[in-house]
Amino acid sequence: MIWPPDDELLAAWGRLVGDPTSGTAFVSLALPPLVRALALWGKGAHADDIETAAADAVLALIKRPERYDPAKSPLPAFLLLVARRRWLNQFAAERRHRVGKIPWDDVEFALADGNEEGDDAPSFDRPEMQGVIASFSDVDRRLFDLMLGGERNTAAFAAVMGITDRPSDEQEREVKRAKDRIKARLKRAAGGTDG
Amino acid sequence: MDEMVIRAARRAAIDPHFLAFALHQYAEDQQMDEVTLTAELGATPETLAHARLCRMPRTDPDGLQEDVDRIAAKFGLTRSVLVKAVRAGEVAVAHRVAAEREVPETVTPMLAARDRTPESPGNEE
Repeated sequence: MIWPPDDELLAAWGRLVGDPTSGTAFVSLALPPLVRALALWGKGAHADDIETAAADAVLALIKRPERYDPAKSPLPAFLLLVARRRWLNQFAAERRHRVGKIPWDDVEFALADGNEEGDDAPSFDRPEMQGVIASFSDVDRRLFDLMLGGERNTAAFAAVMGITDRPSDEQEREVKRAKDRIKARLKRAAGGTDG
Repeated sequence: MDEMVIRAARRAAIDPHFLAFALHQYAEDQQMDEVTLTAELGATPETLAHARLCRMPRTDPDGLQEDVDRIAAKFGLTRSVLVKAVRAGEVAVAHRVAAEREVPETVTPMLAARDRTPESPGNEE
């Protein structure tokens, strides 16, 4: 089991409003499992970045506990959602900083093929992009992570899609189709065209 | 205590919502390193992390006394040092607010200039 029992976590959250000393108990309870969960989601990401994003998510909730509504989702799911956004924002900021230094040919996840100036670098922190990313299926979510990580090996994508038993040309075709579909959705959200 | 909790507590120093911010300001004002701050507070690395993750005490006299007493009692910290730290945090926040207030006066003319329609659009290149 990764997370503490729901009632324990919710009780710690509930104390955040009235008790000024309750932050540390909440961090101790929520941060380690959140880091582990985020690391599973963002395989290949730098451990420090994962921990920073998770810590920021937990600190943000301590600061404004009312942002969480228990009627809408379990607390671990909420924290993971916030931490993912933090990580994506961090990733996007670093990417914007680096863009121009990286040859686009080396970037697997280039939304604008052939653009060598980086003007069309994706801004994942934009609300419309966040909306699309949040709506990804679990498989698309993991494919997207591989793309973000610069994975080029078709087998890695095929494994996520569960099609490694198919002929290699079919795997390549299906993987390309899935990647194109993800890129197209993000390009539309970014205001670009599919072509 | 998990090391990552200690690191998160240090990270909280960037946000005035947390006591970590005030403790950081106090240590900076007094040119203290973390070891000295810990000693002055009568803390251990663990209880310092606990304290950092506390919400900044309220600043009205009654609220300040109640919150500082609670934090000091719960984590075994020196009350007088906590009060000094809270004051240092308040001063830092006040400076920050004052600095932010000054920004529009310098930025507005620049924005106005930027937004002005060019007199000869054809020469923009």
